[in-house]
Amino acid sequence: MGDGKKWLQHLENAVPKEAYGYKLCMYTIALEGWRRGLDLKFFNIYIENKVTVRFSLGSGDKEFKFAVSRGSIVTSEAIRICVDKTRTKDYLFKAGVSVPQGKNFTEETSDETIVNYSQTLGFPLVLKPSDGGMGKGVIPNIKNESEMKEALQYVRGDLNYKEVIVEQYVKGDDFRIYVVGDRVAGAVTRIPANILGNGKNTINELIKFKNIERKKNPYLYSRLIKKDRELLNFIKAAGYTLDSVPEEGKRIFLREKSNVSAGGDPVEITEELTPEIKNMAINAIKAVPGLVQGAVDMVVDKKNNTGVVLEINSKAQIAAHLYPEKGNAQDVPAAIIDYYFPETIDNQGKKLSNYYFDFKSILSPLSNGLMKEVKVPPAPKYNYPVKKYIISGKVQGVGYRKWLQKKALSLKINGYVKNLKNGKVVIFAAGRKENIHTFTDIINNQSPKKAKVRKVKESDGNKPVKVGFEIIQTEEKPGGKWISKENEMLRKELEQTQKKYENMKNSNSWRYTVPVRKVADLLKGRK
Amino acid sequence: MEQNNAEWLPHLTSEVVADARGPELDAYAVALEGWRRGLILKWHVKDSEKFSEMKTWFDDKPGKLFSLSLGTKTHYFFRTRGDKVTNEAVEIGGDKVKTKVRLTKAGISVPEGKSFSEGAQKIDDIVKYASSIGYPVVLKPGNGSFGRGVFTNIKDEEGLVRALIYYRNNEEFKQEEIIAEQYIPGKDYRIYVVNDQVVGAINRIPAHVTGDGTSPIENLIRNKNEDRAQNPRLVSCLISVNKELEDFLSKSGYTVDSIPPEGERIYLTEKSNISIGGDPIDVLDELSEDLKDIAIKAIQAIPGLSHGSVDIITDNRKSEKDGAVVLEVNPTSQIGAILFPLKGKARDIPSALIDYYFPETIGIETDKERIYFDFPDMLEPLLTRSATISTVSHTPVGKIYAKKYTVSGDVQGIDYHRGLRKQAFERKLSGFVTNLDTGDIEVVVAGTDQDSVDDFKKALTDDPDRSTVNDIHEEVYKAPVKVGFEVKGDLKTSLEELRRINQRMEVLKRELKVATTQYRSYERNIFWQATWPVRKVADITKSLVRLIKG
Repeated sequence: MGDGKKWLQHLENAVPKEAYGYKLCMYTIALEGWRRGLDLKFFNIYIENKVTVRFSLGSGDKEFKFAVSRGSIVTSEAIRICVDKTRTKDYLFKAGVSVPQGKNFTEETSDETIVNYSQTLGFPLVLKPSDGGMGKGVIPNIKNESEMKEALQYVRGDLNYKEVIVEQYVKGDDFRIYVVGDRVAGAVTRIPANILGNGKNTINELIKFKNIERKKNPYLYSRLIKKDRELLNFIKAAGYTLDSVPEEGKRIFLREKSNVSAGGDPVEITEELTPEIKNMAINAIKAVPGLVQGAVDMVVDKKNNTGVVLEINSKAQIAAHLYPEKGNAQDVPAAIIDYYFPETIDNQGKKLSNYYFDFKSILSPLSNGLMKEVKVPPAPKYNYPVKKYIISGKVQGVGYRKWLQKKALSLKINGYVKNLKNGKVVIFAAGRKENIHTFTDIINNQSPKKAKVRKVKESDGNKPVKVGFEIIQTEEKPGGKWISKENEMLRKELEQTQKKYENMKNSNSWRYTVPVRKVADLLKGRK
Repeated sequence: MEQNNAEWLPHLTSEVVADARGPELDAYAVALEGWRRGLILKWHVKDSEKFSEMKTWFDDKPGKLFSLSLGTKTHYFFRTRGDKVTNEAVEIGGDKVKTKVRLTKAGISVPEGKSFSEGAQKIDDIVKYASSIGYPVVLKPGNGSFGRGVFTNIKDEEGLVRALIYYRNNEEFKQEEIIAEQYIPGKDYRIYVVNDQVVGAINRIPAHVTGDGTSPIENLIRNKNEDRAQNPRLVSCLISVNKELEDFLSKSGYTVDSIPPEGERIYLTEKSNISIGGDPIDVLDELSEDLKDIAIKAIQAIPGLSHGSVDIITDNRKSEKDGAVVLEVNPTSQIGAILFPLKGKARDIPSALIDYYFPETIGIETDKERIYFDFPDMLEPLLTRSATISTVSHTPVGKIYAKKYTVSGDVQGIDYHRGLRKQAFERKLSGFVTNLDTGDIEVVVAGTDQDSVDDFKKALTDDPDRSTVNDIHEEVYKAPVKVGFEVKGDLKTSLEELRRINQRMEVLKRELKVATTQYRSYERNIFWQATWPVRKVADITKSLVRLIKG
């Protein structure tokens, strides 16, 4: 889309659809650990009356549990501090990390007292709820006393957040910097929903194109740009309608909000950070005892190379670093695993990029409460190449795939088999050299009874495979219908055979031969 | 038709075991018992954890290997056999000769017999031996099971030679060790022993039908198979009409077309194996102390064996005490026939096994009948090797309360249903939501806390954005509930339906096979008749062999 972006090659085609969206963190970190040879388990737990799926990674006696991106080295005290914005600020301030000045006000404090305080602090200011999340109820850039009164009325009255924070409003860019140990692993900023004119298409069409692009992004695929009233009003204020055709190269913003869920673009900017800003983020994490990783929300004044820390999120989502719409993706999962399992850092060179693991058959019984825990099979020891076979002949509807699956599983081959629309069967397979050799041999020379293989075409797979060996159901042949059809055919065959048999028994020739048969029986010693 | 007056276990109904068949039925029954008592149940793939050291077989397909844990204690099971049974015991049990040696040493009667390695090549030796012990005799392969290759009641030398030639011409048996032993006419028992206690006993009656005066034998068999298909154990053990069966019938002057008089019992084979159509009849209550004693001693005679089944025949020419001989000891016994007998009471072997392995759980109060888990769903990730171990969610232990809410209005949205699932979780309830054709939905919730179950009614109206509830009808729900909460409109349900269809298809396939064999055997007969003069001069042995082979 004209914006430079680069994603991680070893995640290409290696993240199943079921992991898209908010489960990306869980899947990509688990995948990184698993590919380094760690034991991987998924389990569900009740937390505050909700069932959530979590995972653990371990080797030998060492095991860490993970909640989203946060591992169990982070202490519960650290988690508690991060949840409480005032306490976070106290720790940051004591450690010498710049924070906007401000104060927390409890429910009992009157609006008047708060307004008075505002005047001593000096405008512009921000008003936000003490325990709000996701930017809800945050009123930025309050310029004077009457705006403050209005804001208080809205936040404490309408929204009913009684406990609020008033602090200095700092101008600059919002960065979210992800720190693990003493290393900045990633940094993102967000730009509001926007499109880039090409001189040909209308804004409406450009939004459609952009949404098609977003659907290809595992992180954004469900966070599309919606053409709501807010958006229409915003472009109207700038003098456009949905039917305007912006000139080539002209970027048009569609909203003020930069939230990704409102159509904003995540931009990876780690490579643009100055050492001073990086240090500030690292120091912020260090300032909270027991916190070894987390996302630091900062406002950065690029011109003066300064910034302030607004808050720290210990359980941050990391998918924006992996799938930015602009900038180079940063391997945050690798940084996390490096920290928790430093002994596996060397394994990174041997990364098993040809393998990933299934999520669907694991996730659904876990999330409907049937399964408590499930252990993922260990990753293969080597990154065996993936081969592709296309089989033509009479290979569909003859039990070929089931037969092949058995062969593949017994040879410990990973991959899948699938019917193609053109009547052929495609196989992707990876495994030990000698097993693949045997497998190739079987494909070329054997088949189930009813099948007839005419031709086998072999080539490189060029994409990773899941461990295990799966039969992928073809979409245009929904299993149910197809099976019922086969069932119907079987029933007919059964009826026909029974009929033939009845006819034969009732036929005259059979009757006439009864005495002969009796004699024959005698001779054969039946009696 | 024979009356089916069996009393099955209330907590192990055909509904509960609907998805477990064959050897998986055994495993599921034992695993379910442990899990219902609050033990942690994990299903494993081959060679997982301790299974790499245990003797197991045919375990590529998951559903036979599981472990149960309580605190730090874990026991591993292959089908019905737990890890308290040693590999040595399994080895002895699998070898009929070694078993006999141990039993004899312990003073237990066994049929007199002798084993011949590569027996098919030693016709003279075996004939000589048979006349020394006296006819009738039995021939069987040393490592056979399911009655394969067993010839019972061989009355004379001619029959013996015929059977041996069959072995010689059969790849499976031609190198095999062959055992020749006395044939003992009598009643056949399978007795299950756990930890020096007899906990189940069945009498196995060879496959048979009972005449009604109007139906030919063939139809009687078909009817009987239809009955058997209703029994979780016997559905995989239908009677198939084949050459062997027809030959056996002809010995008593019948064909499959004969119409036996009402009330007459017609045997279809001499072998009592359930797998080839035998009827399991519960006899625990009438079992004599003598027989019980023999069974217990037989298990004790095998070192490292603390539970398993003992096959006994009581010679009908002698008193029961003197005439009882032990044929076989099976450390990995099937228990389906004891759980689902055709007559009599089902005996709770799984419960006895869990009592033995986890005595801590004896007497735990829990509502067994009301809760179970989805077996295929647990195995699915293991089947594709997407996982190596899957742990079943903890069962609610205690009295189960369940309610069915029938909700009408605009209520069939999948998002609303997923919301209900979340609500059920929050209250630690299991159950399901399913669409009705009327546009209503049925929501079933079950749990140990009655308040949560009652309170769920509120959850139904808690989502006005995604539903409009007009009316809620509530009633007490009695049927067993699967752990977890299933949204039946989901993909999973369609898949489940698929699986059901598949199962039906398997049954059809089997019926088709039976029909085809019947058809072919008639076809062959016609051919036979046309070539009759040629065959008349053919070597008599040859045709006898063909006869036996079927």
